[in-house]
Amino acid sequence: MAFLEVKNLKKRFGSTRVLHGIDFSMEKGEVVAVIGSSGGGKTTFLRCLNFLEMANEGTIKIEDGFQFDAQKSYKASAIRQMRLKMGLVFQSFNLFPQYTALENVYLPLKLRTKEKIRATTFPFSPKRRAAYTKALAEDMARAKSLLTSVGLADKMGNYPCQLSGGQQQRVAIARALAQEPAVLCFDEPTSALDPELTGEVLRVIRELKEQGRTMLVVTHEMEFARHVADKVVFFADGVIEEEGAPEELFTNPKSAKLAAFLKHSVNAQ
Amino acid sequence: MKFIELVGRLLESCGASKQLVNVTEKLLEGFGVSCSLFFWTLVLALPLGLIISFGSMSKFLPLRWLTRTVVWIIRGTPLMLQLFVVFYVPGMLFDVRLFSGQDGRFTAALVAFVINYACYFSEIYRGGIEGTPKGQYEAAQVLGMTARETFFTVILMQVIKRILAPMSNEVITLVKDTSLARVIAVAEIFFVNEMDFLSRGLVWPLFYIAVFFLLFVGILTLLFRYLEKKLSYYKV
Repeated sequence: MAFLEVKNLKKRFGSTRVLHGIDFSMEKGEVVAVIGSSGGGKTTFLRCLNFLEMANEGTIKIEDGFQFDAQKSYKASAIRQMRLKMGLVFQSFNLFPQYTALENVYLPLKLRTKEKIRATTFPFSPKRRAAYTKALAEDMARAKSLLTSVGLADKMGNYPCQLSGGQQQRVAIARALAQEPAVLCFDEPTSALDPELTGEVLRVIRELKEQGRTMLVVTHEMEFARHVADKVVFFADGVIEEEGAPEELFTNPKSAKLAAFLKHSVNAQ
Repeated sequence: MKFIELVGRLLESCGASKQLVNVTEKLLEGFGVSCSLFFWTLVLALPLGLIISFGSMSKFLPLRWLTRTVVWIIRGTPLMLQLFVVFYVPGMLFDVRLFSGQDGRFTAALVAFVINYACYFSEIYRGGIEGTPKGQYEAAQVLGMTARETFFTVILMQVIKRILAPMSNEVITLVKDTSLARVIAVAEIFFVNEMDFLSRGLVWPLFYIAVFFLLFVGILTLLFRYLEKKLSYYKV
């Protein structure tokens, strides 16, 4: 099977059907760009993959044995574990404003580390304390190296309100990477940025591709989709209308909807 | 008592009249009770208000309706009425003397104040919590945080910042509302002094009382301004 396999994923809000049975797969290390006009279901698809919305029907499988089936019901703790399999970078960054860049990356790591240690050691035991000290020092080092890798070594102590949009988004990317997700998803990561700041974020995504990260990027940056993605998926009206290699898709669209979409999209040229 | 005598002696040494010394001492005595009513109300109503706000946001509808009804009743009736009810009703209906003596009166007033203020606080908390952008919860969720972790490590500090201004309003109102405890004969600043002043035909002590309140509220205002400044390092 493919690294990530989604079968017949359906989602409706009340009586509005948003996803009409999505079949999708991607390989490890692949970068897939998701394009399409607003309301086509791209974002809902991403949110279903991250379990921010629960799909009404369908399955999500990852090669390492992870499985989600919409027919089954899951406990909150199980859903929480499933979410850690996926990373998500939001359009509006959603950094925690009261924490510095470093704390934003370190805090979620720390909480998960503590949870793991709590499960295996006794309260107040020296063993637990020693485990905390060691593991948290590792987490801190990890958070620092991640921030350095997105080019923010000198901004670690800054609060989100002291950072530019591009810098905030890079912190958010580091924060999502810290969980070691199998697939890192981006929901229009540059749409809230000034044009001159999109470059730095896209550069980071490009670097992550070189490191072999598996990424799924919902984007309006056609230039980016064309030159960075291994595969492009076009969403329209809740279905995958067309998918394929970027060059093929952009130069020779088969469906009328995609042709119309590309024609209206200024960046496509 | 020691502190009051000290202030009295200090005034005397400055050449204040016997009357001023005497009035100051008596006012301080009553104001001490007002202050402790203020203090204990805050200590108990601040956490209780948070619990009530969880009830009024509960997904379990009967609990939500019950909580919101209670909040509606408490906010919709005069605090003075609530003081009477807490103090007199147990004795009149069930023939139990819950609150006897001056300490009992103080406790009754405290119970009424805590319930009343917790309900007001709960609405402020609710506004602060519901005003948190959805993205903050979602970011915490995709990072694998539990609901409890999300609230205590991410949401709470943002809520505190957001509610600081409405909270300062409510706290300042509480300072002045303590004088209502007079209606069940708690020995607060008015109860202790009004008959005395009126029988002696003194007018100026009434304005002197205002000075006590103004000073206290002034200090609180500075305190809240300081807190606001302390929390200005982040924006919500």
